[in-house]
Amino acid sequence: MQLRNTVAAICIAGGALFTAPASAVVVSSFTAAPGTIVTDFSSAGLAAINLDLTQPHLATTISFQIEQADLDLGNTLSFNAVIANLFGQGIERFLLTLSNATFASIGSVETFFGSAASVSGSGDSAAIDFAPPDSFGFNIGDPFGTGGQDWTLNIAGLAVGDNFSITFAVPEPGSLPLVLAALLGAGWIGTRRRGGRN
Amino acid sequence: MTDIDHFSRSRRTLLKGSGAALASTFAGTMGALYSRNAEAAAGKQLVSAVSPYGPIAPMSDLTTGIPVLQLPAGFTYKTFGWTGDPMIDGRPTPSNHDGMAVVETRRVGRSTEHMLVRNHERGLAATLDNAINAPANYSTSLINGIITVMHGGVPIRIGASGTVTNPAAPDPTPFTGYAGGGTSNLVFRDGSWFSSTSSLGGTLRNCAGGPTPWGSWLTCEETILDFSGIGGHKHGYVFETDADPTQSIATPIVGMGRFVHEAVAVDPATGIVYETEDNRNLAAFFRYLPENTSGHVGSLHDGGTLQAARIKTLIRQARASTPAQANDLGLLNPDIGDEYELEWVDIQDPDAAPKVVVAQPGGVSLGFMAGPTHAALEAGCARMARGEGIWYWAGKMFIVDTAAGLDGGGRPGRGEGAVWELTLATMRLRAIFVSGNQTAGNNPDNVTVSPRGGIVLCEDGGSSTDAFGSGARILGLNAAGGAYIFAKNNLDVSTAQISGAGKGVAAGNYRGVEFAGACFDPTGRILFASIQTPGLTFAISGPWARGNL
Repeated sequence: MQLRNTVAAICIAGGALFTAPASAVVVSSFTAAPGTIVTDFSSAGLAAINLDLTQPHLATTISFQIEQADLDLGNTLSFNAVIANLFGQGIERFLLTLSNATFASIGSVETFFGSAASVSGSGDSAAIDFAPPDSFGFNIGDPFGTGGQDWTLNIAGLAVGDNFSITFAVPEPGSLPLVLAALLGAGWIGTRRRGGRN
Repeated sequence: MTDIDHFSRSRRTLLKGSGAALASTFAGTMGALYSRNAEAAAGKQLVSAVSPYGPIAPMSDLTTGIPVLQLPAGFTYKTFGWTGDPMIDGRPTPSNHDGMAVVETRRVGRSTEHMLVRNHERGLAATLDNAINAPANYSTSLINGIITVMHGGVPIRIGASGTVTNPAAPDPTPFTGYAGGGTSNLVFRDGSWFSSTSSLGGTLRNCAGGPTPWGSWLTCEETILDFSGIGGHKHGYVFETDADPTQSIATPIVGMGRFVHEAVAVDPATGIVYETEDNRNLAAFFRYLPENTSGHVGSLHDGGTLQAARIKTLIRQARASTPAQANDLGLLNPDIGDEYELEWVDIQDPDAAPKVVVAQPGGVSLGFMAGPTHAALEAGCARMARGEGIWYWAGKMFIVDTAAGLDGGGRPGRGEGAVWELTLATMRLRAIFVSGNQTAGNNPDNVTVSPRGGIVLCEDGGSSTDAFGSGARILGLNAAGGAYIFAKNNLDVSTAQISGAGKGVAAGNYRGVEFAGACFDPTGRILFASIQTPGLTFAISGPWARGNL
């Protein structure tokens, strides 16, 4: 009950969340800039969201709760996302940082209006670089089954009811090193906390 | 080179650069001041405003590789729906792309779909198979013959080759064929074109139109030809095309009037539909008050009242005149800032037959004036030059008159065009942009407003020559009403390029062909528009927040 109230409060402050009843991994909460819309399409073994970003440079953190159906499929989750750029500025770099999970594999990124995406990352963090900057939006993984490759997340050690989170961030070009350091720091703290609990 | 030398040289370069920048800024400021002074004297814009998106350059289409457009840095586009491209109903994409809008946006699972309706401004097709064969078709019979109307006891004959007023002259070439206009529907899904299909046929000269708040498109016939005596139907009406083509209605909305329709826009607060007319100097500005304001496909067919605008009060006018003079000529040659208060006059017969008129303003010696327009001007309503696009945004209508202004001979209603802003709460009509030459604005036609409130104009005056070469343009209006260049038609295509792209259109230089159908998706990420001939549609995306569009 407390969690539900938390989600409701975040929705008012941060935007809107659309999610289905939990029978598998599900978005449990998120923090984001006002106007951001998170729609949850997760299912057993798959963390999947549509994320409509209305403001740049304000990170969105989405927490997912693990259910038994996910653990029945093993220690990894597939992950994909449809990212809509609704703020009308080009994205040069898009960062993803995990807490309580790590990237098991980095899959594909699909763009629509000519930007070439290059992806790098390991452990807790990944980066997508766009050239030229992307102003429309992009798909992470293969949300529509059109030949891309989903990313996979290592959730070993998590139990039913545990949460992991993904932070999505569009760094300001001038502050990129600072943001990278902050995100790496957040990932390091998350790793230490998980290690401590285990 | 020592570090000090390096520093000094860099510093000198920096200072030199700063000086150049200052000089440039000074020259730009002085130039702008000079231009503004000149514009103040002329009452019209004389030079292009500086684009917030920067200069434009040729850019290759992501779909075909052909450099169809010039765009600012950071913007890209993809073309689709070329004339002849196969549609999902098995028909080829019709030609002569014109007015268009996103009538519905929906989420289907994780997908986002934009449903667009696009006009095809076509005349007679040689065969029924060459017409648009849609789920709903207005006229499907063979038209064959000459239309004769009487004026002062003298027959005037109208045919495919033109109008003959001399009774002793030979007949014009007869009309022969099938009404070839109509609409097609397009689906743009997840950033890519998905499909298209025929959605209305058997109409004529579907120029522009307008979206409704209930997810349909009102398509307008830009003609008042009456083929009912030679095998066809009367034309000059508004029809309704739905996002679902099977729900389109091929019955005209007679209550909206029979005149030379161009475009319409719905006030979502009242359901009133505002209508423009494109018939040089023989045009009025109308609105339709529907009986049924429930707002669904077919509701406008339930009847209503047609009204025409009349200037009630002169708020500001550069050339002093009486209200009667302002109604007759004021809208034909405005200055920036001219402002009037409108009132509305009922038109008793929206389906009245056209009249032959002579000696009209702007050198119109003889013309065919629509019946409702004749009634409006008889009642002292306002005369427009060539009403074109109209778009609703935030309690206002933005209305384009493509020919407002004077030509070189000083004739009103033959200028380079203007944009009027009608504030619905006050019925104040104000000229926010008036072009003083082809560089500033070359007969803008279709208009749209972005979700951020920026006004976009499609030029229809042929090639404009400016710093970026020659070609028709898409203009933006800045907050002060100044027009700037956003895009340019760069389509000069060879047979090899067309063949390589898998298209079936003819090679040629199309740079002077009009842009049409500009419209944004509701998120403001995509600007859709078309080049009328050879007929193609494109979707532009880029860093819109860099400017006001």
